[in-house]
Formats: sequence, C-alpha cells, structure tokens
Amino acid sequence: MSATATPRRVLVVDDEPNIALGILKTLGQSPQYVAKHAPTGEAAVEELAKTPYDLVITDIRMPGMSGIDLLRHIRTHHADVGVIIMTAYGSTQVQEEASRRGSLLYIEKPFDFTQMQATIEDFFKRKEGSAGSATKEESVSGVIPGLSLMDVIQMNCLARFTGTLHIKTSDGSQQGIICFNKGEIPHCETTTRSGKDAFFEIIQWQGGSFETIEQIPPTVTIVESWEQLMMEAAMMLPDLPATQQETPKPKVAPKAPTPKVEPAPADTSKMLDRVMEGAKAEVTFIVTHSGFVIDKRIAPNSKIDLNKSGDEISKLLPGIFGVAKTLTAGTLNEITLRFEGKTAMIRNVAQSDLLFIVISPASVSSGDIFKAIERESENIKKIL
Amino acid sequence: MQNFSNVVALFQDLPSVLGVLIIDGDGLALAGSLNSKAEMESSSPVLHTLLNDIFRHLAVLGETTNQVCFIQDSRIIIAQPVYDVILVVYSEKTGLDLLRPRFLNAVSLLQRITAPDFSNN
Repeated sequence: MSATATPRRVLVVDDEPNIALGILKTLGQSPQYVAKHAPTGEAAVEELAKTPYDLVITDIRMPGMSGIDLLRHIRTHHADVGVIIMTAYGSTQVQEEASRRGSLLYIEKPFDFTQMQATIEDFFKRKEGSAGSATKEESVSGVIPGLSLMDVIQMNCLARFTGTLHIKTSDGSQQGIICFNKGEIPHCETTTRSGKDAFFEIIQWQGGSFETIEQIPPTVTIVESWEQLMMEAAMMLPDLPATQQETPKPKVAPKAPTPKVEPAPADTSKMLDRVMEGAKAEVTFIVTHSGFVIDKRIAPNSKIDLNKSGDEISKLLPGIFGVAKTLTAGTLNEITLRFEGKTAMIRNVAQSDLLFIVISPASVSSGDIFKAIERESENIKKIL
Repeated sequence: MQNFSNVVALFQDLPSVLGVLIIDGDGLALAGSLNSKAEMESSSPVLHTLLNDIFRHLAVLGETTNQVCFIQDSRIIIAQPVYDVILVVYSEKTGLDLLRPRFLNAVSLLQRITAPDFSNN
C-alpha cells in the first residue's frame, strides 16, 4: 500500500489512555494511518457504527463492556474488521500459535510500541496480501461468526474466566463442555469422553455454536496448564490452507464517508528534549506505572543501552509500585537512585499513572533534575 | 566494640528522623528504631524485596546501586546497601541538611561493623 492509497484506519480501545496515546503517537508517525482512541467498549461500538475501520486494537479487561464482548460485537456486526488483542497474560508461543491458526492477533503487555507497530504492519500485510481470495472460514459460528473455537477458548483462558462453555455441533448430534477455572481448563466432557480426550474431540468439531454458563467446574480431569493443552491441540489440528488462515476476510470497498483525520497527539518528544536540557540528562523516558515506555530520548554521547534500559524499566516498575503500595504514609511520588557516576530520578506526574525517568551525571543536583521534570509535568497533563 | 545499635543511636537526636532500620540479606530486621516491633518486622521483607528488585535490574544494566531514595507525600525513605545489609532511614522532609552528614557517618560505621574480615596469614 502506498502512502497515497486509502488510509489504514485503526481504532484503539483501552481504558488506559497512556497506552492508547503511545499507539496513536507511533501510528501518527506514518501518513498511512488514521487512528482514533475509544476509552471503553461501548464507545468503540458507537465509533464503529459511525466510521469504517480496518483494525481494532483492544484490551481484554476493561470496565463495562469487556474486550471479549467487543470482539463478539465486531465479529457479529463488522466481520471484515481485524482485531488485535492486548493481554497481560499467556505465553508468547501459545499466542503465536493461536494467531497463526485463528482470526486474532495477540500482543502481550507490556510491549514496546515498535513491537506493536510491527504487529499492526503484519496485520495489514496479511490483509492486503489476501485481498481477492475470499473464503468462508469454518468456525464455531453460532454465536461469534468468523471466530474459531480455539480463539474462544484462548480468550477465556487469557481473561482468567471461571465458568463453563457448552458447545454443540451444527447438526446438534454432538455436544460437550469445556470448564474453566481462573483461566485454566480443569475439565472437559463430551457424550463419550472426558478429560483431555474430550477436549481434543471438541476442538476438531467442524462448526457449531456455544454458550457460556456460569457453572463452577465440577471436577478435575485435566492437570496440564492451558498453554500446554492448547499447544497439544494446535499440533493435532490439520494445517488449514493458507487462504483460510488469513484474516480478516477481504473487504468490499466501503461506501461509508471517509473518516476525519485525527490530529496528531501532542508531541512528547519536545518535552523530553527540554527535560534532557534542564537536567543535563543522558537518558529520559516517559513511562506508565505498568512499564510501558511512551517515549524516550538519549544524549548522543551516552553509552547507556536505551533499548535494554527500557526493557529493564518495564520489568522493574510494576514491581516497585506493587510493593510500594504496602508502604504506608501516602503515595510514592519519587524514587531517586544513586549509582556509579549517575543519578536516576523516577518521578510521578501528579494525578496520572505516568512517570518521568531521568538519568543524569552525578554532578547534576537532584534539585535540577526535579525542576526539569516538574516543568514538563504540567505540560504532559494537558495531553492526557 | 561497635554494633548495630550504635548505628541506630546516631539518629536519636534528629527530630525529623522517624525511624531507622537495618535489614540483613534475608530481609530480616537486625536492628531499628521504628515505632513498633511489628512495624519493623513487616517493613523489613517489603523493603528488602523492593530494593533487591531495583538492585537486580540495575545489575543487568551493569550498574551498582549505591543509594535509593523513595519520596512519599509526607516522608522520605533513604536506603543504602552496605555489604550484605541495608541501612534504611525514614525521615520527614525537613532537616535534610542535618540528616545527610549523619547518614554518611552511619554508613561509615556500618561498613566497619559489616566489613568481611580477610586474613592472609
């Protein structure tokens, strides 16, 4: 697709505005993309009704309408729209396998925004590559058309679901249950089998419907983790022809009005540049408490490995703020680390879950770093 | 013969200091002056976990942390590893100019107490 072609329209659905901001900012760097943020599943449904989108990137866990409910809506009313699920759970291997076989793409939180961009690019390459080869997907389609049973099972596992999936084949000749307990699959049953054998039987059924029952799993007949089970199941399934694996299905040219181009989000780069200058910093990051790196800067002469630092920060921050909640005496506003020749300041932007991280030479006083951050904290609040 | 109580005692006359804690490598409180024994026992493993997490991630980046300072709404917590123990001082946000030299003295004393002995004889 060239830059002059129809824009790639992306809707980001997440109740955490900073993550959406990061994705919008990343996509905003390319003129190919028109991206918009919906803070809830309900807002996404409204937006999809007004404007055609090619891709929806959604979190699973959101207050109100969940990612699964939104997915159900999309598959029912906007079957051509692709979906990328953001999840904090699940192994990469299983997600890759599920993505390969199913109609969804997954990305595990926390992710780097370049990684997200690669997933989005991959989606559009697959979509544009499959244009003109429409195929009806075989799926458990009674409730969520276009979604494979493996997708549904995986979604329940990722969402740490507890309850039971009651599945019927299209002709009603076979039925079975898959029980979930906090995302694990402790029990499966068909009319003739139970345990793993029943699970493998169910996933090979060609088409049907399912319903979710709020029933606590009655017994444990499966001890393997859900990831192991899914991998075994994935290996048992015959490989689908390439055209069936491609998602979403090619779309008919939409007649809906051209969407408005969203203004680019406010530029965090300039804020970081000013912090770099004020704190004479080697490196600055803007990150969320959950470890997402929104933006970063490094001084040209710095020997700090920016990517490695970002990775370590992503791993470190959730732990710090998790443990720090147990310390009394109010919110944790700032952490200052002094190490060989450098000072690192991690400071909250008030009333948000954003943090500035600044690493400066030890010769720079903490006061100077503090002032540089505080000046930009006010600016960053304006774009939240 | 100096011991951990002498380190804690260094902060006794500073009104802004809310408490002192010395944590060993397993997260147990070796000495301290927090309000209650229960608070000391509960704070030690939390801080130990938190600090070790920070030290470990910075070690991946090739850095050795010398000091960590947590700033909360009404107080600061300064933590410094000294060999295999960690000195933690809880303080109000005032009187930091007096705290700084006292903290350095405490670290110095703690180094003398905890320094591993070597003998080549």
